[in-house]
Amino acid sequence: MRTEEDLRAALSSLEDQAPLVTSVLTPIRRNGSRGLPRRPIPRMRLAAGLAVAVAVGTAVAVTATQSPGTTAGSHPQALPSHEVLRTRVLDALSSATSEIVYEHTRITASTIAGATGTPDPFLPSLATGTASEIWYYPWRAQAGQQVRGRELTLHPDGAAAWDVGFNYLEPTEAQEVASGELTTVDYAHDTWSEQRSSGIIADGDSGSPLSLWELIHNETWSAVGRTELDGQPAIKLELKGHSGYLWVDARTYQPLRETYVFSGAGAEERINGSWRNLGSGQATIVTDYQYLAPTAANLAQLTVPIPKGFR
Amino acid sequence: MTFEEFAATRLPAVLRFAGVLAGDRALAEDVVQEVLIRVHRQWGRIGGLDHPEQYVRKMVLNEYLSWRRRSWRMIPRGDTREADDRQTQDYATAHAERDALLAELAKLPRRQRAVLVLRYYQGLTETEIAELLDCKPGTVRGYMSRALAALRVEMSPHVLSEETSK
Repeated sequence: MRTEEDLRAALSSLEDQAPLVTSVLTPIRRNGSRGLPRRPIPRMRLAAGLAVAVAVGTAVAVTATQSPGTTAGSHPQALPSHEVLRTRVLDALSSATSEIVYEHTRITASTIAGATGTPDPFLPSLATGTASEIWYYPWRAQAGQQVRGRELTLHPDGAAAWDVGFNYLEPTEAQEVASGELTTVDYAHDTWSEQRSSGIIADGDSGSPLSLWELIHNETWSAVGRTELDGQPAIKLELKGHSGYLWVDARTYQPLRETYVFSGAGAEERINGSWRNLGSGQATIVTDYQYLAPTAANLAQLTVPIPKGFR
Repeated sequence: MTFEEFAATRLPAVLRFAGVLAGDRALAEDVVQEVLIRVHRQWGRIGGLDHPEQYVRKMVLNEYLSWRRRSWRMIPRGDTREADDRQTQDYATAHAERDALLAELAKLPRRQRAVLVLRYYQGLTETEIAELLDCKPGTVRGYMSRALAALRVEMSPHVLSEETSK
């Protein structure tokens, strides 16, 4: 006769049948499943039929590569009113609808203990210096339009960790879930794969330009003041409830940089078959935005290269 | 709680529950993927709950109990075989008895199996299990008795007294 302890032990042994976080999140996130943590997803869905001003052609490439300056009296002009600022930032985002949006995200300060960079679960690494490069094109697609993108995750030493490309048809509001292809290159194991997925959630992707649009639209911010970023005039916004800030160009009102503090409390990772808690701590995540014309050279960045010898 | 925070802090435990419940990683992945797509869509509501993981766990349970292979819909899984450093234990050589028990567990009807997982893995009471399965505690006791008998597991006096007191 068996005992209840035998049964408990047998059931607990089945924990080894638990799926990997990365294997269940990949199909529902068009990217980011192996990328850096992002700002929380805005709660409201983008309403259908919002006006989109389309500006074709001109690239507005703005790079922000240095630390933000302090708010200064060197920009004495008053801030626009909240409503005017909101409208100008939304208009600026809408005007970039035909461009490639490039994001460079990096962890600049991490106090999360045990951030070892193992591929599972969810967070590849919370170590300082881990970075990702992300391309979206177009950043805001019409229903039925082809959407392409790529997310390249880099180790602190600059070596590639994961490279994920996605390509799908923008679904209608009613469809919600898109069909498309995902290409994944795993540099840790010299492997790559191509998958066709009908489970791509094409909206609400946190950290995407679309989610930035929603964040501004949904009023979850307040203006802090005028400042400088990489020597150019900027306006700093505080993102309410997100422990973060957003800098927009004071002339074009396009987002330049976003910071977000990610709390690691409660996060787990599995090492050598054992689950362990990462412990408390925080990581500061900084994202710089650029807006690129869809030239052949820039479009080539959307293709995930398969390294020679990968299987 | 945001979806990202849920995924980072709560999802691993939900996945372990799914793995034990299904007893098969591929099935657990299918069940969880189906649930997560709905969770992601409805996160505005689910994320506002006091304990979203409990709600998601119940969704996993319901999905498992009603699961039918969806041959018409392909939801591919990420190729994580190489990334998966977990080693499947060799039950056949090291745990022959456990292997036999697991094999018999796999043959149980799903509701009976679910009751055992909720009772002996999750540590829930009969009343809590009954609420989750939307049935009476007596029905739960029936499932559990039949399942334990099929597995030839002797119920402890503690459990017996708990049963008779209800």
